[in-house]
Amino acid sequence: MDESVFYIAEGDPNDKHSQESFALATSIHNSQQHASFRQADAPKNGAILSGSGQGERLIVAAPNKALLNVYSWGKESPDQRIPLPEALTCLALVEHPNTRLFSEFHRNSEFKLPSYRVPWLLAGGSKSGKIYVWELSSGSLLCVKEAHYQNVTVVKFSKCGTFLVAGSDDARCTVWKTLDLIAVFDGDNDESSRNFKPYLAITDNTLAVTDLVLNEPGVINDLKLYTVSRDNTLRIYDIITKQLLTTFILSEAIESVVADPAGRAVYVGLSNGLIRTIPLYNINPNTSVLESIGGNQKIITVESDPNLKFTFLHHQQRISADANKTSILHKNLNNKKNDTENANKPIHVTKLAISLDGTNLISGDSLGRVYVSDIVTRQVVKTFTPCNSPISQIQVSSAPFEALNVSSNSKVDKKHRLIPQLKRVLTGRDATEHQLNLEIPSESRDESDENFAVWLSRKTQEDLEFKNLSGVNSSVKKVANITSDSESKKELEDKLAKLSSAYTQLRSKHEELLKEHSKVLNNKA
Amino acid sequence: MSIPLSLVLKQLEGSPSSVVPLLSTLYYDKSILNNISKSDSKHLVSRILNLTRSPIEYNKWAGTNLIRVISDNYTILATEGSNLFGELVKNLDSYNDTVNIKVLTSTVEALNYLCDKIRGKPTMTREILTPKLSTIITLYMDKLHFSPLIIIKSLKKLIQFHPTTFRPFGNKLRAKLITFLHLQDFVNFPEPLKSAIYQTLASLPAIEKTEPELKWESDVKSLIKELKSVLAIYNEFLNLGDDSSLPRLFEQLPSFEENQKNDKILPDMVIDVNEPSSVFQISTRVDILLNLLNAYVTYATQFSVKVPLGLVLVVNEIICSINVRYISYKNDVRDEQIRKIVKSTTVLNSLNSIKFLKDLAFTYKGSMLPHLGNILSLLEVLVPFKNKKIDYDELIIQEVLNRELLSCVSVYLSLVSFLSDHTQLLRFVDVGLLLVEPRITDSTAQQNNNNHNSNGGKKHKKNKNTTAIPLSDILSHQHLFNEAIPEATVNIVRQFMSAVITTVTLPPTQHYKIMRYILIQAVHSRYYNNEHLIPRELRSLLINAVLYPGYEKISLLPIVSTILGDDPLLSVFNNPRFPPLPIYVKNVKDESVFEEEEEEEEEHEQEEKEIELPEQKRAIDEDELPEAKKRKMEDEPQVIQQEQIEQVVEDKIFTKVNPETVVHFAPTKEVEPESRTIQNQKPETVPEPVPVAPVQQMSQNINGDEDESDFEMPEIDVDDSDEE
Repeated sequence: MDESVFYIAEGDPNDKHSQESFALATSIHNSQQHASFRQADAPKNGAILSGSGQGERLIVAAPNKALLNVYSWGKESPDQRIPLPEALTCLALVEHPNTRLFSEFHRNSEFKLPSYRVPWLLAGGSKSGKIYVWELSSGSLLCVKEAHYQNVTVVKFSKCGTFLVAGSDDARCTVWKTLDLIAVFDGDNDESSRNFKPYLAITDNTLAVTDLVLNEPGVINDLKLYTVSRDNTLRIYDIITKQLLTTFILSEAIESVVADPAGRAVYVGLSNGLIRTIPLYNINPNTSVLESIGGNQKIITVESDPNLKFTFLHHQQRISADANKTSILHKNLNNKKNDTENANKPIHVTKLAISLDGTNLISGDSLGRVYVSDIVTRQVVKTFTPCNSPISQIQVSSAPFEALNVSSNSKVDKKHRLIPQLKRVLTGRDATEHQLNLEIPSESRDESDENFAVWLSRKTQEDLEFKNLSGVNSSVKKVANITSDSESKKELEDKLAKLSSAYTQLRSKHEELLKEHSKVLNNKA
Repeated sequence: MSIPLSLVLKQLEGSPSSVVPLLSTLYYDKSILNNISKSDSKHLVSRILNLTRSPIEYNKWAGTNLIRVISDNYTILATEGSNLFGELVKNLDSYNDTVNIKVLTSTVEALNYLCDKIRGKPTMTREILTPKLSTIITLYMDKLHFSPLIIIKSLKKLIQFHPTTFRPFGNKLRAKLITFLHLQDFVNFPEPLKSAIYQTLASLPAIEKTEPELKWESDVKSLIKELKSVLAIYNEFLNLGDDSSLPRLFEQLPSFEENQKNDKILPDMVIDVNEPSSVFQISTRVDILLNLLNAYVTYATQFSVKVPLGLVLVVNEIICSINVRYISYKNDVRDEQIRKIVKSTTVLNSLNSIKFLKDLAFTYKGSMLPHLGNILSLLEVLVPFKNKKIDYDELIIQEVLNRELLSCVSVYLSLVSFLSDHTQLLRFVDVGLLLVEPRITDSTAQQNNNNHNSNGGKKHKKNKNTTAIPLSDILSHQHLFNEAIPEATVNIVRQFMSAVITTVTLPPTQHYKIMRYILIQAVHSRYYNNEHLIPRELRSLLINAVLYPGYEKISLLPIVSTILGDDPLLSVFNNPRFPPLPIYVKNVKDESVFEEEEEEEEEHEQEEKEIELPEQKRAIDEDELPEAKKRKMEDEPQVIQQEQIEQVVEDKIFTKVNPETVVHFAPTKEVEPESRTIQNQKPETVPEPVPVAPVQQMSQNINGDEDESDFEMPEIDVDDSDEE
């Protein structure tokens, strides 16, 4: 097993055809590079990887173009370029919901992985504030929703697929029920069913919402939303009760956020290059009991951290060598003036991600650098190959070694590998048009896989059936069964049996005698 | 038990008395075959082959099974594989109905096993499997009627793995299977055989040389067309126009063109109204076609296909909509018998349709959700309703249908984690609750009584003596006449409840009814179990009731905790805890050492109170300075207990507490167990660097000299995880 970090940058605006842009997937734990994707650049949150390893896909919204690039893991250049109705600024994917209750009780509720896994929905936000939802297996555009007044900065599905959350530059954050968005074939009345309201519209922020993250609870009632905004706040909401739980006020605008997998802390990336840990539990100094921080609509001002106990510094350092390197990378495009301009700009921590075990924080900044740092010591443990522009997406996922290192993609021909073209027109009400394109997966429990013990017990049973347990010689029975019609035949058979037994007797006698004869002969000799 | 090889060989010489010990020895004691000498191996194989050649059935059977076991050994398989194969094929060829069927099934099993073993190994496949494959397929098809289930399954597998070799046999097999479908009593075939036949038919497009997906698609389309033509017959019995949407739905389905009539799988139907049972042909056909369609759209394909999910759903919608409760009979259908038969065909159709919908949900998951509202309202129509109330008698009569209905609804619900609207589900909840109500046959008894009363006096007297005997029991021992609720119903209803309470918040009436049922059942089944155990479904239902409390927020947890005291999840509920924090992990020391030093620490703490505070202040001042610079400044070494400072720093930053008060409490028992749990629980994920943490921490604040060594620590982390 290995953990793979995927990162992609926004791309240099001067580089019109994205020739200089690339996205990489690299191991956290060793120096191995798992995959690279050429000509890949995306606006912030505008790229999404369905997972790492063979059969997974990378979907990238081309910056400022109404175009989606789809890559397959293991191939460097895009597999598909899909035209869109509008340029997208952010993307989100969600897997099919599982029939959670039934995996125990129903034999046929689990499936093997087909050669290509197709996620369920793809959502995208656009500059005009619209949210688009496509079903990937059919390519149907299920929903176009005018959700925001300005650029949508981030869309995310909850892990279970129940909610879609969007954050925008208009300082609002909307939570939609996925079912509402995709219920295209239901109901007869066009207007009422399409004009639904968001499940929850959050208007607490005063400046753009830059990033958001949802926890992954097993019980939907525990679903929490963490939003960060340029107005220096981190807010935590309980989605089911629609309540704001806690507001944290920081000293700087917040650009990115990630939550600990076990919900112990939140990490926010600030616009001054710092990453700040915000613990969600601490020890109450008076009672020395571990208590949770916040809740109950508390507003907590996160004070400065003089001892740097909760702060990661490494993005703030503008290592000159590093800057040189990037400038060498695109000497032609960046002149010195640009460099100095860059040097004066504050460094933003644009994206954050956390490793499987919650001990490593992966952070990318506006200079294109990506670091892995240890959460406990707050030291950099690994530096990745930098990109030429601000990092726009970081994703961490783990997969078995053999899946990550794909040598050839020959297993599946292209026709079956591609996702259907995404439609640019909203799907009609006619259910008959709903046509999926997919490889039907096989059930994971194959009935023919019988283990030896079961097989043996079956054979024991059969063995017993061969045996005559009645104590009566079965051959006698058989004779009785023969009908009178074949009496003569039976007689003949009996005769034959008699004769043959007599013959064999005779023969054995003969052999015996022969043996004796030869013995006698030998003795004489 | 392991029998030495010499003994095995000896046993195989003649007719072995029992082959089972030999089989288990050869399988479990791998060393026998692994270390076998060349001559012994020859002996073994030749003796086994002799057994299979023997005319005695038992010996043949024994030899065949022995072949299956010894083929696990790679050497034997490689050297003798083709002989073994040849012998099995010969046996298969010579099989006829005078021979015990077990010989055939064992031979087929052994052949399949050998194929599985060889498949995927290029040389062996080329040398052994490929030359024999077409013979095997021919023989399988010849002997198909002897043991259809096992042979059809084997053929299905061969289609899957060797589509090219299978190509010449495809049409023949298809024809053969379709003749099965034409059999009058095909619907009464055992379920596994039916589904094997359907799945084999559905996997046949794979053998197509070019573009199997097109063949698959046209097959599916023609099935839908044929279903449409069958369903259209209802127009002769019912006023399908009563339901305004039905004609529209029919229009949405494609129909056969004139020249495509030959694509039909089933022959034309002959229905004679004077022979009412012939009406059942409709439901039989719908059954066959629907299940075949089901097999097509749910059985695994090796290639991607275009699934007309919308059309498939329209077909189901039509089937469920043809419901005599809402659609009137045509005027010329007056015969009560015919009416009843038509009704039961529609019920049968709905049942098949529900099963189909359920399978679709398992395979297509999220893709079904855009249709969720439609599907639920479709299913809702099937709930027997009379005078705005659920018709209890009808419900019980069609128990199987309603059971499937609930099961189907719960599968769809389980695809959704959260539904805010419960109106569509209330009817199903009522059905579920009614199905598990105690059933009393008392009504029938009453009817009997009534009948008797209405009879003439003479007859009445006569009957009294004969009928009074069983009737007296009903009166005196009524509890014995409570009809047991079938276990399948109980389980399905419980799963349904589980699905409902986890996705929606029900209105209080239904919620309390469900909770009441759960709790009563739990106490009941706990009492009647010797170990006070609770069945699995009920257990998960109870836990879900706690996890998704709905309106009930207070009283349920204690009740469930009493009933399920031993449940690990509830224990977490009752003893709530926070996830352990990585930062609180303390020193590198062993736990034993740690404890000893605790006292020392406390002493230190008192002494160093003064030292800490200035340190704090300075740190604040230096906040703005870059890290490197600051380290240089903080050169003076200080002997301060690390834990304490860490503690203080934390408190200072986050809780605005006066540091003075903080220092008064010791670094405490509360903290210390925390560190232990981490060390115990995640020894691998939190390796060495974690204990190092505080040291590093200090180095930033206090001791710059240690810096270099600290930087190296994280790299150890990297190495460690590599080895994992």
